Amino acid sequence: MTMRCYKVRRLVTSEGAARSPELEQHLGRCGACAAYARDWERLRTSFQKAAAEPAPEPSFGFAARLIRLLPGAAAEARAREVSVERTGRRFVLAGLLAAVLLALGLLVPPSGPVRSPEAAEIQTSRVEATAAQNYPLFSNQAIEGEYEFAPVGGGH
Amino acid sequence: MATLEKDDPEVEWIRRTQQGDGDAYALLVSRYERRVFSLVYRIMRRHEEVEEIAQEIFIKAFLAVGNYHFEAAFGTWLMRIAINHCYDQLRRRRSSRVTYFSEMSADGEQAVVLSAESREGGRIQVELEGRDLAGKLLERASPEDRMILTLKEIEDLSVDEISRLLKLKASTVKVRLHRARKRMLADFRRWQEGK
Repeated sequence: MTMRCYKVRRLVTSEGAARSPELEQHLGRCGACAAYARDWERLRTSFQKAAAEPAPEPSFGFAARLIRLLPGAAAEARAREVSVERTGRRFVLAGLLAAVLLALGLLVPPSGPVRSPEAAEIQTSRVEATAAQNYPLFSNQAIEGEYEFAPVGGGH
Repeated sequence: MATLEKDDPEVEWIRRTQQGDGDAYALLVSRYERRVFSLVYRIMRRHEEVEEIAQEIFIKAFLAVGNYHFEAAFGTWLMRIAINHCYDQLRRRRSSRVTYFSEMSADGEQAVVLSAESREGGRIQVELEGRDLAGKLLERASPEDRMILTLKEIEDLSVDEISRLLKLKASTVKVRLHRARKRMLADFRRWQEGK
């Protein structure tokens, strides 16, 4: 079975992949993959050269200078922490206040000029009850006892 | 990256540092400064920035040492701080410019080459050979690709070591490495074609 180009290229760049005879065969036959492998080798060599390059050394007294900076850095960090804490606390308080206001808005029955239908009904029934007490004319009993209505269609 | 031995004085230095003892921290700094300098240089690739960045890393580590619980070796923990700090620096640096050659117009490419020339002492010809080739291509890579390729190809760390440092699964590291190599190779080939 012949190897596919994408698999060959993956193998070429993967670490420690031993080149199988099948892979070598493909590289001998496929110019594009051979060029890919050559480019990769060139890059690898250049990485190795970069790795061999010496890194700069710490200058004399680096550790001592650093230690002298620590108290200032620690104080600065503490100040930053306090400021973040304060800001955070403000956000929490503002959030709580908003939540309380929202809860109040939802729980307290509306009493403004615009009323819900339920509130209007409660009001009406109270008015009716008071009126019925004061003026029996409006009570059902009074209506049934004292008045007789003519049947619909005229029965006299 | 070896774990700590019980009789290693480093344990004592770390405990004292956690209590705010600067002298103990100086001992830790002396032990790890070369390693941090080397890592910073390999990732950032600018001599003039190494000391300042290393200093910031050691200060960060000092401020965070209270969160070190001896789960990993101190060296690994410190290198993780160094890698994250360098990564942030690379992202900041990258946010202000185009990097990959393939993302540039011919004029942009020329401008970057000229700026590289002037930075490096007015060389007339930029040689993309030897270590320069890797350096220039890394300089243009995304911070993610640059980080993982540096750790693997230049620092010569194993996939397991990289996965511990970056807190990633080994399989994720392998996939990212493959993609980063592929992208870098593609960029290199595009550059060659345009040469």
